[in-house]
Amino acid sequence: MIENNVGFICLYDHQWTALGNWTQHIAKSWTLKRKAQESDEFSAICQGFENSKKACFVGLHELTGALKYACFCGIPKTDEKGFTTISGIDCRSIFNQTLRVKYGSSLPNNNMTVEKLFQYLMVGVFVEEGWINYDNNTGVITDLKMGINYKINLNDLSLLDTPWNEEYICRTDENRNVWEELLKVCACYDLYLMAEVTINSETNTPQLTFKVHRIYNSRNIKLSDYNVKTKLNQNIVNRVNIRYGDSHTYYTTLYLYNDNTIGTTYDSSKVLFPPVTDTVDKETLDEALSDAYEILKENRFKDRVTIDLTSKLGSTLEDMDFSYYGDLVGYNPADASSVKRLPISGITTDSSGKKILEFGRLSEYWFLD
Amino acid sequence: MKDHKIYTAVDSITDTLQFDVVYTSTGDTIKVNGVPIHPDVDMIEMPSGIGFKQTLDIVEGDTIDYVVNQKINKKNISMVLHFFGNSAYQKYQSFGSWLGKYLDLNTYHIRLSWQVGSLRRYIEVSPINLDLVGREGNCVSAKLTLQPITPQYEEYDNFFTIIHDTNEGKIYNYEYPYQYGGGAYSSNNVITNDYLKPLPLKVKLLGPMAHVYVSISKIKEDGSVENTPYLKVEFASGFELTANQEVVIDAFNNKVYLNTYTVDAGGNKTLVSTTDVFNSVNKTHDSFLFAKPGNSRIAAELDLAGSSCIVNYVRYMV
Repeated sequence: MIENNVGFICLYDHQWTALGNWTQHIAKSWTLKRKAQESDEFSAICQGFENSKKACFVGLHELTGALKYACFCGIPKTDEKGFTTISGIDCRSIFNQTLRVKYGSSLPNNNMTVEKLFQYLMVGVFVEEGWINYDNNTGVITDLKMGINYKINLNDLSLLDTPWNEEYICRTDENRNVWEELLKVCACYDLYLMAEVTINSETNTPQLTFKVHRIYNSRNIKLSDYNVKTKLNQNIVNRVNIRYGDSHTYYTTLYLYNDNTIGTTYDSSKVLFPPVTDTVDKETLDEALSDAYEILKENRFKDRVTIDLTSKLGSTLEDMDFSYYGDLVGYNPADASSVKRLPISGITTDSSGKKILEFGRLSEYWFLD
Repeated sequence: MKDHKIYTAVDSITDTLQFDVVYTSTGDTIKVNGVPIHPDVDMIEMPSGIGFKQTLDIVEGDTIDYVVNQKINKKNISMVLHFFGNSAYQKYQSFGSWLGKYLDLNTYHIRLSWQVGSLRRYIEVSPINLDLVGREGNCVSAKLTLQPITPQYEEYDNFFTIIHDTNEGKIYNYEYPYQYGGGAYSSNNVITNDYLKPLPLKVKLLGPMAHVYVSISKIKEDGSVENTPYLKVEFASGFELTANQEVVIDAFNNKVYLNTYTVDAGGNKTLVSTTDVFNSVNKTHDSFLFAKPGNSRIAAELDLAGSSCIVNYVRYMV
């Protein structure tokens, strides 16, 4: 409600009790970069906490008290000038665990849905490890060894009109990184996973909730109306040859098309140039197919366009969030009619009022890929 | 022959410039023997920076420009101080010591004020530079630079009290058509904000109170009150106030706390404890109240005899 970026910081213990004799500390400065496909980056400098022991979460509040953002607080550092510096850690990092993922034996063979897959990756895997307990009737997750209570919200997936595609995952039981598996599924079905903090009205405490959202909105954006920086990337794998078995039998070639779909047919009006081909060669066709799809799905939207919302007509994009694709008109300056579809991948805000939207999934460290 | 108006320099603000000090936490003026404290300065000259500065972010169009952001900036205030007499340097030193004594912004805010007509205008400041110029004859001069930490305001401690009302009859309220019974409010629970931005409020809710709740709603141009408050602070169920307790919701200092008092036979209150109660605020609502520009109405739930709500605010202006 209050139209500025001044806020205050609270440190919370793992049960979301605000810590300190005085719990609110005015933030001298803060920066938040929310990302759809990578970990958020949050840092803040605030009035010094006299004691940050037991701190687990950090909350950035608006002046009216509304919780604007929360994440793990790491180890807050208080300097000799009396300021506390906090470098947050994205709550989604709790999924960054390499565990036994039993796609073969734990997922149903019939009536498989995307929702069931997320349920398994966000809850089932941890139940199988004995880290949490899950009540099927109430949906309540009880912490056993995880140290964190959380809820999941998969309501948005009931609106997903894409059927389950068995080719996207390989049904084997293997040790896998859960976060990477979640990102892979998100890339296949145009989804994103966010950590959100809701208020449990019964206990009057914040509640960590992981929610899966669809990317389903789109908006035409004429790039010349905005202050834009672009980073184009032509060097991506856009074709994958699939081979399998001991004799390396050729199965097919998958193409990444210029409309971000994937197909097996060569169509000169749709395939990307120059051709950059990879070959996956696995023991089974299932493995080869899932790997090939993973490569191409992750290579969609590998460009980066940033728009500074504090300049020119930037304020007209204030309402856009991660559920949006931008249909970027004039993407190629030499061809004013060219349109490129890129999802929003990052939203940067800070205490000075800066707000930057980032489209496309080209990593900031793309040159290391 | 042209009719020339003759202007005489009859009004002057330099004669009325004055410093005093308020407590950061309460906004109360520090007094000695009932008199506000002031430093000794023989003469203040050439004040500058008393005014306002606005920043506009504008997108230029062919015909009209579009304002995308508007902000009132605070300007540093500077002035020249003069100390007269043989002990002028000593006076200068005393003035510096006085500033130093109240530099701790966590405890004190130094205020500069000046008077135009019958109205005194205040601004809370922090001294950032005191520069000795030197002696010239009988006079020692120094240049003082102050950084504002609030906008200018005309009266500190605008406040009103809403009290429990046991009137059982028909009570007309701002909200049409009317409201029956206790818990209706006196008509002065209105805040007028003429400033460009929301004003912070300091709200004290004094017990006994079973349901600790206060809200602020927009009063529309026609005088009616919007049904849904734009901000509200409510405490979680189970949080109650006894007769000797008060909750302070202080948006000036970003603190929500509970004061507990003892009362002696003579009715004198003594503060026993102050406790942060942010954890007890219902987090589905807000934690602090701000008054939007325009007219707003404060409402609190004052169902029990003896309960009241005191609202402090400052009328900032450009």
